[in-house]
Amino acid sequence: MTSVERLFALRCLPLLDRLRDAEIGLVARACQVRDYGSGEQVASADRPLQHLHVIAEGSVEREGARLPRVFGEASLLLGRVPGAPLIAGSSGARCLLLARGHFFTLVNECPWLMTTVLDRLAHEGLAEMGIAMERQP
Amino acid sequence: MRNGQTGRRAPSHGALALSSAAADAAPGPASRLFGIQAGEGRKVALFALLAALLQAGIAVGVSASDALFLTRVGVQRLPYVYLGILLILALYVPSVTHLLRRIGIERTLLLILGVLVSGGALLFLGLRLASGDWIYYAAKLYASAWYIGLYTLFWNFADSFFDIQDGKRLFAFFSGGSAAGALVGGALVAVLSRTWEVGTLFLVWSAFSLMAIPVAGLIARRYAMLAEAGEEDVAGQGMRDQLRLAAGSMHRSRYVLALALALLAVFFLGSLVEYQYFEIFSRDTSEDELAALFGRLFAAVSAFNLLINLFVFNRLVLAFGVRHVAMIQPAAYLAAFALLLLHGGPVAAVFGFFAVHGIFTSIDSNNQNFLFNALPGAAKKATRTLLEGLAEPLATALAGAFLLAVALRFGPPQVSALGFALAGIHLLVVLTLCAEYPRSMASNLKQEWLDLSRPVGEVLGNLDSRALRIVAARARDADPEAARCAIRILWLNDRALAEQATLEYLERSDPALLSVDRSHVGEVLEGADPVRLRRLVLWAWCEAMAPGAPCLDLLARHGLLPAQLATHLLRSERPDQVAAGVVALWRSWRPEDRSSASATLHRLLAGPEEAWIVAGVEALSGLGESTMARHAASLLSHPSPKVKRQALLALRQIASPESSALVPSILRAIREGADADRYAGFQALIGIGDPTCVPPLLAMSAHFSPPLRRGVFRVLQGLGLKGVPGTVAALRDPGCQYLGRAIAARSLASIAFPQLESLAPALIDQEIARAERFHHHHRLAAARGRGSNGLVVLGRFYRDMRHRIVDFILELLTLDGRLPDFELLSASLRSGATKERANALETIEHSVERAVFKRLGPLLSPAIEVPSKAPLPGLDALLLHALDSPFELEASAAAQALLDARGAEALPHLRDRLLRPHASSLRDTVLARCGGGIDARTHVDRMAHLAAAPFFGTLPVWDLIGLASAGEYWSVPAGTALFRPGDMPERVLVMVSGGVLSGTGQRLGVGSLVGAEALRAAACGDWAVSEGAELLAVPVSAISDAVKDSAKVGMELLRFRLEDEGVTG
Repeated sequence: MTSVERLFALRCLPLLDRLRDAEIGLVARACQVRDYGSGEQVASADRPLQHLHVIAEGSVEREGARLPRVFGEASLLLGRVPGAPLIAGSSGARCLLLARGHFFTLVNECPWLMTTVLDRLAHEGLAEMGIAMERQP
Repeated sequence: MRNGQTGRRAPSHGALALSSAAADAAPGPASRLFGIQAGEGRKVALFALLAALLQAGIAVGVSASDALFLTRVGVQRLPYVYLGILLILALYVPSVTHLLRRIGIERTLLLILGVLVSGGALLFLGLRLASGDWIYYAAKLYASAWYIGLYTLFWNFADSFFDIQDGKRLFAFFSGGSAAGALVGGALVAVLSRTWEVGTLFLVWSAFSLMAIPVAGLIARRYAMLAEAGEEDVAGQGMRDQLRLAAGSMHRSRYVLALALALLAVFFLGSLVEYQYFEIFSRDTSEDELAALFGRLFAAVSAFNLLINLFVFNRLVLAFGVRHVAMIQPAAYLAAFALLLLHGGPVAAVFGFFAVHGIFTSIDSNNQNFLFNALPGAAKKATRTLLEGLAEPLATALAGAFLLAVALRFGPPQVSALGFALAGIHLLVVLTLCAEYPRSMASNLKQEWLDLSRPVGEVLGNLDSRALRIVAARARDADPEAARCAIRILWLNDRALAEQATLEYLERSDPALLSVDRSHVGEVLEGADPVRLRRLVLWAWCEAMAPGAPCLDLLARHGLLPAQLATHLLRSERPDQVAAGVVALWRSWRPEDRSSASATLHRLLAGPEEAWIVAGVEALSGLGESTMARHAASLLSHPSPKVKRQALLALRQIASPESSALVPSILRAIREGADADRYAGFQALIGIGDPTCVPPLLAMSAHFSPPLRRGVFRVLQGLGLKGVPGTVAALRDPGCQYLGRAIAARSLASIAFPQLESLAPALIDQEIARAERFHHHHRLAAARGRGSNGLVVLGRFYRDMRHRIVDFILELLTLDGRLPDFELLSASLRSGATKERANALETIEHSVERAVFKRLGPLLSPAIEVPSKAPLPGLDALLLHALDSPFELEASAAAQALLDARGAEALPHLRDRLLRPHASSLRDTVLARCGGGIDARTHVDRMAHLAAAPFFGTLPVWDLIGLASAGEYWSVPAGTALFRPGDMPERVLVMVSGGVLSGTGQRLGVGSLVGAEALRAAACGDWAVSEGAELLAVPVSAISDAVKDSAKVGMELLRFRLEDEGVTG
């Protein structure tokens, strides 16, 4: 996947659609591409993710439920763990990975991104964002 | 690959062992002497014991296998072993990597210890029962593979239980354990080989491994591994991906190529030296004598390594730097080959042994950790893993092939001579590496930083032909947004392709959408080839006839609107069409056309309807005459926001360097306007190019959102070198807001990097001193803050300013090319995860000068006491000093604290200060305080009340300023229902005094949140009834606005919601 292909994959995401061309171009260049085979573990249950995951192709599931195209924000920002393994779906998954440091920069430079994250939390719920649901004792 | 297939080398240690991180630990005798903290002793002892047992076994096994191989098979067959090691490690590395991922490090270690126990016993039996040389080959390969593999495994294991800061204190003890184990193992070999058969020594190795099993098991059971995230995704890349990434990185970076060659050379030459000293040692020596000799040498070299690791290595790096330390190994090899060539006896052999097992292990291998830091960003991990995994086996195999080709034909002197020549080449490679190191380090750090202020041409320009084909295809996308994005990228890369794509897009798109594509049409009109221009004009003519025609004004501006049509447009009912007619006729050659255009323009600007004035201003910009800028600027004070915005947009088009006099009006419009006005104002300032706008623009940028601050940055970029003096002045001015100074620093880094480089050390020094001062002020205010809202806010101001100053320093270091992305470091330093904090500290410590870190370190870690050089002021002196602060909040909080403490006696101190410019906040505070009743509540009071509440209390003071401004006090009589079940609260209420009763009977006291559901965008689940309360009501809309401007508010709101949901993690 070239950086312009990554750019076009990223620019249609609600999370990033307000970025300017240069900004999204930089994010695209900073992303790594990672292919997961069917059933391959994308992230373990008990460790916070270290990348923002954007599913370019295929799907990723948590306990059988499909995750949205973007996941990992709460894990990156607050160190939350998925609580259950995140597994590539039956057709595998091609993910764009944005490192934690870059995501922090992005959030600091474009704080309105947090509005999208908060809206998703309000409308989709935790499990759909790939975060553990268990209540604290 | 001495250190590892998983890309983790043994951390350097030694002089840095007594880390500052331990300085505040309870200082017992052990802590003072060794840096071991209370409760750590047993854990450290177990790890040191494990290291000792593993290394003792290795020393025994390697000595035995070397002795057997050299005496039974002969040194001339050693090259075959070198070739075989490649094969063994090719199997070993993926197997262990697989095991680590599947069963974890503890079980892998236990499993391997089991293999070692049985392997030693099998070799012992094999040596007794088997005949032929194969068993000696097997023993030699077995020992050589574990010599490499166990080292890595142990340090990976230790690394899982200690963070880097702890590691720096404690890993020296494990190295000590290792060296002591090797010493014992070597001594045992020396003693036992006199009486026992050499083959029996493999049973001793088994015994050491057997003893290590309970130790490793005890560690795994008793101590928790540190949670370290992140290895899950990239570590799992396949070998092919890693090879591709590493090869690409090598192709692009001379540093990577030099490092790869240097690594290959160091292992290659190491094998040659080893071959040479084996040849000397094995001359006329019996198996037992040889084993005893190797035992003694291992013991001696282990003691040497222990001393170097503990007392020398870090001092060497600190004194001479990574680049100079990298020359030690080539120099050692040159000396070794020179000795082997000229002397050729046991002394040369012993020196060679020390060069390979001593200098390399204790100096060069540790130094490689630093060299790996400079590998280019994206491919860093893959490149490092690959280099570490392949360099040693590959180089050893190459050495085997070389020796087979050379050593069997020529004698040892010729091999030494060739070795000497190759060591010279190695030195040249290392010199190249050293020259590239700082360049690679700086560019690497800058590349890793996601600098969103980089110009679009730099990011999306210069695409290769493949990428351009993809973009051109996307320009035909059915999604208009994607198509427009593609066309914008094409404009940056290939004008002809862009013109073609623009025309195709215009012809197929819905006219209703075309208003947003004016810039593309303008670009084509500016300079397309005649065929495309004609096609565009034909298209535009067709469209021009339609009502609400797009781009009519663009055609007029380019003289493509016929006079007849333009005259007709002047009589239109639509102001935009009239404006297009004005622009077209203004360019007419007929005086009467121009005259009617002028009269119509005057009519448009006279209004009175807003739409007509807006169209008039639009026409002004279409005329393209900078002389009209003054007229446009006169409308910046118009009461209509739309007119003001259009005036700014017009100025963006027509302001020129002759419009300098308009800068103050534009700056005022920027200060008072909405975001869109501000962006237009920035463009106007760029057009004027007057550097006097820099200081006021930087001063006001403290109140801007990050995207707007990037807009200010672009203004500074647009000014170029002209803006440097003003930028430098702002950067050095401690009275300027930090956000403005940060923009100044970024601008200097981009326009005049040497200026920033020369300013940075003094600035950092000055800022550290200020942060230390603020730290002590915070403690003083916090200790005395009870009962005074002024002191509460002042204490929080100093605490938050300390963090902001630290961020500013980290940003300066990032811009200077010494630190990676400071945002992550800043977030990591405030993280709850110990290891994350430690890693951030480690990164900073290794990136800045020792003297700087000594002062900066205590400010980064809350656990470390910040030293105070100057005598600390008393509270009164602090408050009086704070009244003169350039920060309005500090001054007004101090004024309130002073009034709280001294009442009317404080007024003489305040009177003069009230008259100063920029003291509006101070004035408001004093006047409100001197009033009385409910009006006596100040902005500082609001901030203090918010700071006492959940969620708001987690925000820094600058985020509370806006929220406090939006808040209003409510006095609610007893029995009034504040919220009913199902209500969607529009405000969140902070209890200031009195009480509120919830439906469940819970009584909410001062500092509680009422209607906290507002923060979760949820409906109230319960009643909330006042028992007689005073509340501070903050509108939800103000919180939403704050989220858009500050990432911190958004993150804390997310944390608040997740914690409320009881999420684990």
